[in-house]
Amino acid sequence: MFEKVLTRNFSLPRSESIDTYLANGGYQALQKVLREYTPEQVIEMVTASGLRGRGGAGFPAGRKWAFIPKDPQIEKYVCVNTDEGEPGTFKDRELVEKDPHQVIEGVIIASYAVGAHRAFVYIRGEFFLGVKRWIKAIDDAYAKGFLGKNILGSGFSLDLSVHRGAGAYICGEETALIESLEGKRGQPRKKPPYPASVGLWGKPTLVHNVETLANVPHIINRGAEWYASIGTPKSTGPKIFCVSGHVKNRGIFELPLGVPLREILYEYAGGMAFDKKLKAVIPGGASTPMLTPDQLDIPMAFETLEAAGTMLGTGAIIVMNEDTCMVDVARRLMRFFAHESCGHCTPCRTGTTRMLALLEDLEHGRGKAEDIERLEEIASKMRGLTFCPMGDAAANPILSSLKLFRDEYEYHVKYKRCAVAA
Amino acid sequence: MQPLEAKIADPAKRSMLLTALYIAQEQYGYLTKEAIERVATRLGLPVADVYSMASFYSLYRLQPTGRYVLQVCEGLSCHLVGGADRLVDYLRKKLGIEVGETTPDGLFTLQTVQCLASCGTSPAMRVNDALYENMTAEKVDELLDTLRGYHV
Amino acid sequence: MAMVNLTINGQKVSAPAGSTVLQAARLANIDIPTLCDHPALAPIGACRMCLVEVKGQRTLQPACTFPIAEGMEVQTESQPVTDARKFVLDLLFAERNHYCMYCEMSGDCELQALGYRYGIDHWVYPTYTKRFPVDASRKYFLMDHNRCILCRRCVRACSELVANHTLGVRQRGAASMIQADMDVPFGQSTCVSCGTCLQVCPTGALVDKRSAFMGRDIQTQHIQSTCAQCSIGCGMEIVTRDGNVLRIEGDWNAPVNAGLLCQKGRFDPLYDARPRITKPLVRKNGVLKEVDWDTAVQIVVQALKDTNAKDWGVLTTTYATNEALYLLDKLFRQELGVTNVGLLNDVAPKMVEKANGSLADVNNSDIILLVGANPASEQPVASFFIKRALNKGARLIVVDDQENGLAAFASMNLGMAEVEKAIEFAQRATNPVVLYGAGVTSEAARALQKLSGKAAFVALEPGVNTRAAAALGLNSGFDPSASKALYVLLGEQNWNGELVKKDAFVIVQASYQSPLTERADVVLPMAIWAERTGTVTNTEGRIQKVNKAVEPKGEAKPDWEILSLLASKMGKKIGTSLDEVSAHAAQAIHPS
Repeated sequence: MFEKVLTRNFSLPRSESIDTYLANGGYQALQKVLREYTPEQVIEMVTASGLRGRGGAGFPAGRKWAFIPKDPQIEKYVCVNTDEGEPGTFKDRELVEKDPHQVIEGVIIASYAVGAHRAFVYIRGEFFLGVKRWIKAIDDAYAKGFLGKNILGSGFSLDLSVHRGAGAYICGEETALIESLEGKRGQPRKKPPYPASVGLWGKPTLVHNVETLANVPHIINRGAEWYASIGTPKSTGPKIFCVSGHVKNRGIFELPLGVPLREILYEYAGGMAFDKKLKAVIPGGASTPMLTPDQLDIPMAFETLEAAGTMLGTGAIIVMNEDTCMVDVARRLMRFFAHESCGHCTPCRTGTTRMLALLEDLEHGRGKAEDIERLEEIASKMRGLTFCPMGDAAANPILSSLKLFRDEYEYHVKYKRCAVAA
Repeated sequence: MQPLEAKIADPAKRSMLLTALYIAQEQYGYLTKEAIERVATRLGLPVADVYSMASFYSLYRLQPTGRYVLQVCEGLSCHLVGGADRLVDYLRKKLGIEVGETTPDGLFTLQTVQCLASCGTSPAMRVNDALYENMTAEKVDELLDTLRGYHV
Repeated sequence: MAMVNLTINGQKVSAPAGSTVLQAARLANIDIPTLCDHPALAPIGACRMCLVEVKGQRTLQPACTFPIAEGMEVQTESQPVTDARKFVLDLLFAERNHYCMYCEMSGDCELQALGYRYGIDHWVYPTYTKRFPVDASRKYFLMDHNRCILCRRCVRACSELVANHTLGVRQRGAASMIQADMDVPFGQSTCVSCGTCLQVCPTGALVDKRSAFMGRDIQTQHIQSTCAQCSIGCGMEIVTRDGNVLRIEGDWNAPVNAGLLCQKGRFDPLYDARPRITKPLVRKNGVLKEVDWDTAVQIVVQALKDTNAKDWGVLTTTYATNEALYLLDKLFRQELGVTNVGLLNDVAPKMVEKANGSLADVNNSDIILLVGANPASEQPVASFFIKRALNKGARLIVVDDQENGLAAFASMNLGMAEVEKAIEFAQRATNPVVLYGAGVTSEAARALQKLSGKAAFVALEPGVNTRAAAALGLNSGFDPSASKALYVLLGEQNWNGELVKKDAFVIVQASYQSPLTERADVVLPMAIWAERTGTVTNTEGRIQKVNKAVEPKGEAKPDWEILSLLASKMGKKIGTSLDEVSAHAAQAIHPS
């Protein structure tokens, strides 16, 4: 049985309170860091641990921290990305609602490591409970001297504040998040320059997903070697997987990276609901290409999924059974991307709406054979042309479903209805 | 000597914009023209910018709504387990309005929204700022009755 | 400036460090198609037309924003690049309703030109059946959203160049729409009708109403000139066809305004509905009758000979060329000895011995003092410069006893008597600029001397060619109601002549009918701004050329020519060729 790390406090009564956190070894890592380690040493530890970003991109965290300029005269910031909006993903919400202090401790350590004295939480406006929990947790942390001036007498100061987003998935992209914090439309910025050089108000900024930061106290407490022993050599540490769709037990499951997909589905999520047959699995959130039943033995890690032509992304697993119409799935996902497109660049704004129009026609029996070709054309041509990676994300479900279930599209054209019970 | 305060284009004031719009929305019920103008003047921003911001983000209401805004998640995970369309259809029939409309008594506005990160507890919907998970037809009935009960 | 070497299409290119691939390509005359890019605006990489192949990059990169690096290898015409361009165009044509056949921009449209270039001859993707609105509520130009490609040039021009911030983009994704203020009709918005958005729009989305369908670029002539509606002296292009003025455009290369114009300069002159004076008029038996030039000139010359110099009064508008003002001075003051010579508008006081500032200083300043001037209504382009500086972090202090259009943008609004407070702030600034107009009191002017050597002083002269008039000494400030005879160079100005003595003999040199011309004894028809060549001196002292674009209407003559004609008929040799007069005028004006 895998020993829980990130979710170990979740089932405790009032798990979100600082008292619970402290009673279970909370803020020990922070004290250790402030007493015993220099910022460089902290960065070394995190690098050695192999921690990779849990927000979707999987970029090595330690390397990202090292990009921040070391000059103490330069002001720098840390942003906590709680703008979880990828369909299928709900782990960050759970972390924030059930154990916010774990993340706060991670933020403080990360800020110390890069020399930031102001940190900002950017949270989805819809997460009302999350906002309340964040604010309470931060207030309590200030009260106990874990935040504010001269933390625990170390000389290091950090201010942490909470900022509500207002309903835009694109603000989960780090540069769009920064734009939104600055009070502007959530339009991604061009990269380069990267936020590590030019970020919030032009200053170097470290943007991290909630789950990534939650790992940090544990790396400090138990060592980089211990952390790296979990998971695979290239994908270290525990991961909170989200399982939704046609399984018996929907929810989050904390397991080491590299666990086979089959194990998550059948041992933890209880297998298929109503004993239906599995048709397809989205492994890492809506932007990741699908897997088929014959691929269930794949280890859920960054490198293995990439090699299989898909991505780990956020580790949000959406399970679809034999009764699912894949054209409808593609349409639903395209509705999401068309709605969330920021509108800045031509291919995304126009491509998503064109594809949605084609999918609506196909789904409702108005589709023609060339519509399928057009759909594939737009999706494949759009990739790599857009201002930010959301264009690729929008194209993936189309290309994936066409590759695996083209016959369903053709059925829609020929018979003007779904091949399966919708 | 006090430094001169910038009347316009102050980045510190600009970064207050999202929060200011939330406060104005609460005070005015929705973002009326007056509300937007006030925010613009207070923060030294052009009205066009403030309006552009408010209309970009889906949580800002630029039109009046009912007392309770029912936002049903139409994400893939909710749809797969009988939420989204089915839940929306149920509410449409129960309330007698289409998506985007408000009931004649001014109580309920029906909307669909994108993924609410409740995929493990779907189907999900929001009523104003409160999140309701694991919705079924019975729970919807119960919810509507309770809300209506406050306004008898 | 460090240079960076790269290759584009195998060709070695050298460009300054910090340039983008697009800038480097342009230096080497390599064409990369663009839509949202515009030389006067910061690039945003939105349209994706300029995508190019950069060796080592996983995906195609937008040339307009991608920075060059030593040894970079770029391909701009490879198959992936042209495929991408065609795809972007197919999407753009599918997005809204682009019907070229009845669009007024057909032939000059940047989108259409690219469509032809890449062989777009049908819509590949399903098109919207949705109709987009047309907003014709502005007086001078309309917005057709069906033709908008969301390049956002208009929004960027309105905020970056004009700093008026009327335009924005509302909503997001494919629901994005250009909006004015809080999504009101443009005609009811804070739009100041400067027309900059109109000039930068690449398609037929923003259309000038007056000149719509009147001629394609290849059918028109573009004559460079200088605007003569205020003292800023913006460089402009007069667009004509077959002897008719179609519209005015800002000259992007002009040193003063770099393409900007305002409503006064771009639109008002073309909408002037006042009846023109086209023939010389002489009052006979109480009624004005048309006569030929010889007759009119003879009567004027006779009057000049008959009446004593001390009984004469000469008034001039500043809507006149350097040449005209110089000849007016030469003929009346120097040759005829008339001492009562005055201007029809105020003059800003002389603040410093040698005016040391230019309008460009506003852009680099951290504190701007606006003293006794209201550029928001009098010299709008100067107010654009001020607001641009404020956007960059500069602070504004308005010192004015009158209502000031920039009061809402000022960190401090003071009365003229409180000017010391403003001076204190300016003394602590790094690059203070003092913009001053005719409203400066003499006390304030004295106080402002404290900033001499520290601040850049830039006058905002009322009128148009006031700088030249003041330099020539034409503002003696006399009382016209005492003059027995008046020579008024009225030009295009409107004046009801209320101060004129009832039985005075009045000669007016004017372009338009007005109460004064109705009352005058002799009216000499004068050419307007588009009909004469000469020079004008702007408020910085810069002498700029105004060029004739169309023939004078009827028998009207350019302002200086009328005076030259009068002089030669009187036997005074004061210059008959334009070049000669211009040279003498320039010397006499001695711009500092």
